[in-house]
Amino acid sequence: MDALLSIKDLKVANGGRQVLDGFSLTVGAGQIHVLMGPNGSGKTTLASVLAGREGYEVNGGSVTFNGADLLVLLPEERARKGLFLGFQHPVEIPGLANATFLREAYNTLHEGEDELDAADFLAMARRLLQEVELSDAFLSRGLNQGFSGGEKKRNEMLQLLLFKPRLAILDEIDSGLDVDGLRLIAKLIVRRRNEGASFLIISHNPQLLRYVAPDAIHVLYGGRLVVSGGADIAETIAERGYEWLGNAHDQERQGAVALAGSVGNG
Amino acid sequence: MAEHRLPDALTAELGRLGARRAAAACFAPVEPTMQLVAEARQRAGMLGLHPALMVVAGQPVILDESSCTQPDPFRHKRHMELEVLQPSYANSPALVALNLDQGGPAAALSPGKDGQAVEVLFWDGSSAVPQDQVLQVCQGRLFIPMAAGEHGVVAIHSWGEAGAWGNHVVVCHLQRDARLDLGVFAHLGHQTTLAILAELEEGAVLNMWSMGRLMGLHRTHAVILLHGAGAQYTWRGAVGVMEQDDSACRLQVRHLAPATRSMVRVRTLAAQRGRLAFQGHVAIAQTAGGSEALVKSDGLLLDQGAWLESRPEFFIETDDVQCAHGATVGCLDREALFYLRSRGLGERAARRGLLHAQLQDVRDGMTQTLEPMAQRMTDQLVEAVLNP
Repeated sequence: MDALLSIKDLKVANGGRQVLDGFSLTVGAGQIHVLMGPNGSGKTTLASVLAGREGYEVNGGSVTFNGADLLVLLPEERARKGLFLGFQHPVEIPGLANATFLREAYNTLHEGEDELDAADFLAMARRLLQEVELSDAFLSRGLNQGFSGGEKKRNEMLQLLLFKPRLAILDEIDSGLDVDGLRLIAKLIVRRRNEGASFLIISHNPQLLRYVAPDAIHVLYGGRLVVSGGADIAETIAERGYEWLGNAHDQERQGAVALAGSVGNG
Repeated sequence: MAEHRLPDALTAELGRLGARRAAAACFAPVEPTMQLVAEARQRAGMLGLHPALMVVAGQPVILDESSCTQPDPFRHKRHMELEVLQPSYANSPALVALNLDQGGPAAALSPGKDGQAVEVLFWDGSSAVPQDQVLQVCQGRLFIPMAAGEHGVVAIHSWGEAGAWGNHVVVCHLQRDARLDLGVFAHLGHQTTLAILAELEEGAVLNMWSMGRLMGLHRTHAVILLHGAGAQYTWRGAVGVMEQDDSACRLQVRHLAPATRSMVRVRTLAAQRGRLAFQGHVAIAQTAGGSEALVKSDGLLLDQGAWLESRPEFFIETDDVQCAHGATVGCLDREALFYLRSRGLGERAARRGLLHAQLQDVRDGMTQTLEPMAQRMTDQLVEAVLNP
């Protein structure tokens, strides 16, 4: 399967600290990859760098997305190429109506296609709102303004359904969701995957992983991808935490042991 | 018509600020020639305005007899609050030469027909100004009397060519239970000094919105007197400066009677090397027990060289009041910008979206007839700061 996203030996510093130190990963079209790791291991940094957030210093490696050098593109260019970041903490923008934002973003991302008029757009948005189980009232409210944590995540999923990106990076999309919300979001992820979309999901939640049945689970530790494998990795981490990986990682860096599973995948 | 020589200090200040044709040694009011009036009419059409009254080079040109009367409606108001003439507020190098008692023609307006806005255009053209008289001062004087119980809507537009200087006075007198919705729109291309004086009797309500770029050495000075019990005043503003504008707004609200209310919310924008000072001064007299007042100012700095100052001030002489004030100055939220850009919006579109979002609440509660004008002015202001 051709690689949609190819990250090779990526090195990223932030505030003088080397956060990613030789990270490699390949995601194929229609695949779901899950990225786990302890707090501060670099997961959100990776998501931010891929989406083009300012403030990070890329000091090594390369990222190719759909054949293009991703790192030279502006955030909006990455989005127009089909990359979507589901925010861990979606921003509230009072005064910017959700519907206005969604329509402008939709028309920008579908530039070159026939622009939807307001009525057609509204009909489509209302249909998708039902799918994420939000009421129509969320269209007229300010973008994420006063939304609960779960409602913000559903609004991110609404955008995912609306914009239809090739690759969605979902940064802790499960946080703030109740069990029903989690199941709903997993269902939508799987549906989009079946339509050909790819996912890189950052999550600590074994329940979500069970629902979405990922193609691979990776563990990021100390800025590097230390373990890749199947569902058993998540189960092991649920039982043992990340500490054992830390010990193994330190030894691996000293060339002493090979870690369980396949080391890296890139 | 008498010439007025600029003080040396002001001439120097104009030069320091890079004001156009700053070497001007004198300026004088200009007769509203037929040419100027024709230009003003044409400009009103281009701006999409349908003014009932134009004040061209200080002279009223009445287009709608049913809305306007003439002359000299100021005869009862000559001695009202003459302290407005003092340019005493901070960072105010510019001339404030308003004088209600100066004589000269003025116009009175009768708003309040079927909820429709009566539009007024202060137009200060410079095309007829001789080259050696660079700046002109136009003394547009407008009186808006509101009879008891009357409701009205007035939109005041100011527009002029570069080099022209508007110098206008609007006086509002609201009798018992009258209500006036007043929009004040500063169109681009014009620098002006605008004084607004309002006197509210018992139960009267004045709602005011002001929007636009405060160009050059713009000064707005408003004095609101809440004379009658239960009188209410609100002011919502969205104003911006850019290039080398050095502008100031000063608002004085005086609560003089019991249970009066005032609410001031101003959004300010400063781009490039623009400077803007806002002072909201509320005085609550001993006689104004049970009154409420709020002054809130939020500023956005869009460039490193821009400058904003906001000074809410309260002088309270009685205990039984509820007052609040607040002032913020900040930049566009970088995280919000990134969020919008991550959805495909270019940086410019993202900034536009955030600016519109910031200014959205200024139109809260706005009279429907003023809404399209306010929308247009907001669009103009945002595009101006995005397109320096």
